Amino acid sequence: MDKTLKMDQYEMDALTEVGNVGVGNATTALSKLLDKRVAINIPETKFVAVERFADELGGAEQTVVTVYLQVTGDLNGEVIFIFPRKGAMELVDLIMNKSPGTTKLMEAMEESAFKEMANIFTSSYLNALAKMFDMKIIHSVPHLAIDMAQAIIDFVLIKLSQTADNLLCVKTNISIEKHNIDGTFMILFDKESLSRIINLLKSQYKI
Amino acid sequence: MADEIIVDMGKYEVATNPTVLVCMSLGSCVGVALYDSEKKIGGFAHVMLPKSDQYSVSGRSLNLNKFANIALPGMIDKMKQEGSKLENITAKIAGGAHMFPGVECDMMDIGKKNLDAVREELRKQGIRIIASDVGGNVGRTVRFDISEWKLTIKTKNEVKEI
Repeated sequence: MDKTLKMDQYEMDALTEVGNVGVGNATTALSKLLDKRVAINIPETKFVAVERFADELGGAEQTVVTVYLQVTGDLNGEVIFIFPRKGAMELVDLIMNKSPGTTKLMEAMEESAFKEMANIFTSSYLNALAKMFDMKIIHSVPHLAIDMAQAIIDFVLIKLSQTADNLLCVKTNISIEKHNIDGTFMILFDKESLSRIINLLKSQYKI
Repeated sequence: MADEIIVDMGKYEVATNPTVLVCMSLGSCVGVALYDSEKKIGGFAHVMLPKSDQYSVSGRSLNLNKFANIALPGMIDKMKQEGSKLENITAKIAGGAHMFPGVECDMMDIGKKNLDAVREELRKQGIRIIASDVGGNVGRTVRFDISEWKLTIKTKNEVKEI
């Protein structure tokens, strides 16, 4: 199996740690937005075969609400938020300060609220990385789609699979206390960006 | 019930009747179904990318069947090995959507590029496309029933047959 990037366990752990820093910051921001405790688990860093990627999203055909943002600047990558439809609507209730179960349809206003959540989360995540590495990192506006999971994100897999059959993803589950909200935040850096991160970590932290 | 075989992203399968070949959840990917109605032999490719020669693939152990220009000739050869004659083979295609309508970037156009590459390759091979359900901004799961040369396409809105 080609991994294109040869990474050892230290490097994978280092990437997880980078993910942790980002997610820590992002979680604080999301907690503030919702005025709720947001639980996240430690990010997982792993190589996933392109054709098995949908399994990471809870199945290829599951209908999900997805937000996609493109990362550019000193690091290039893709950010994906994936939430099962029901959880996404409950999250919208929280953001819009409605009682759980109020939102039954994702319309323009609801989509906008969901996108804003993703925007704030991603900005905080990337800000933490930008500070850590003294980098300039920009992200696009959020784009939202509701459809089958694999169909929505296959262009991301296509983009990254031009040169590799296995993709490295840093994946975190986001869940909100006392609510039935359980989603996934995922960031996939391109190969050059991964090498840059690893090299910076090596020089800064002597890993 | 005929066996269902899932055709993974970037792969193709060739099977004989009775079998149902399935491409799950196609977005920008294109499902290319080929059928020999004489021998009832079917092939289904889950194409991800247009052409291998645009990218530097030399020296890497990359799965090349994700590219239209590699997967389709490979699949046709396999069907010939099973006894198909080229003149009996026709094609139906589905997929090639653009899932985020508002987004403009190179990669977002990949669905269209995939469709163009698939059509070009089939033309080159001399295979006629007799039905298609492509483009738009909707995901499609496609089931290819080899017993009756029929694609059943499921989207979040509807189920249709071509």
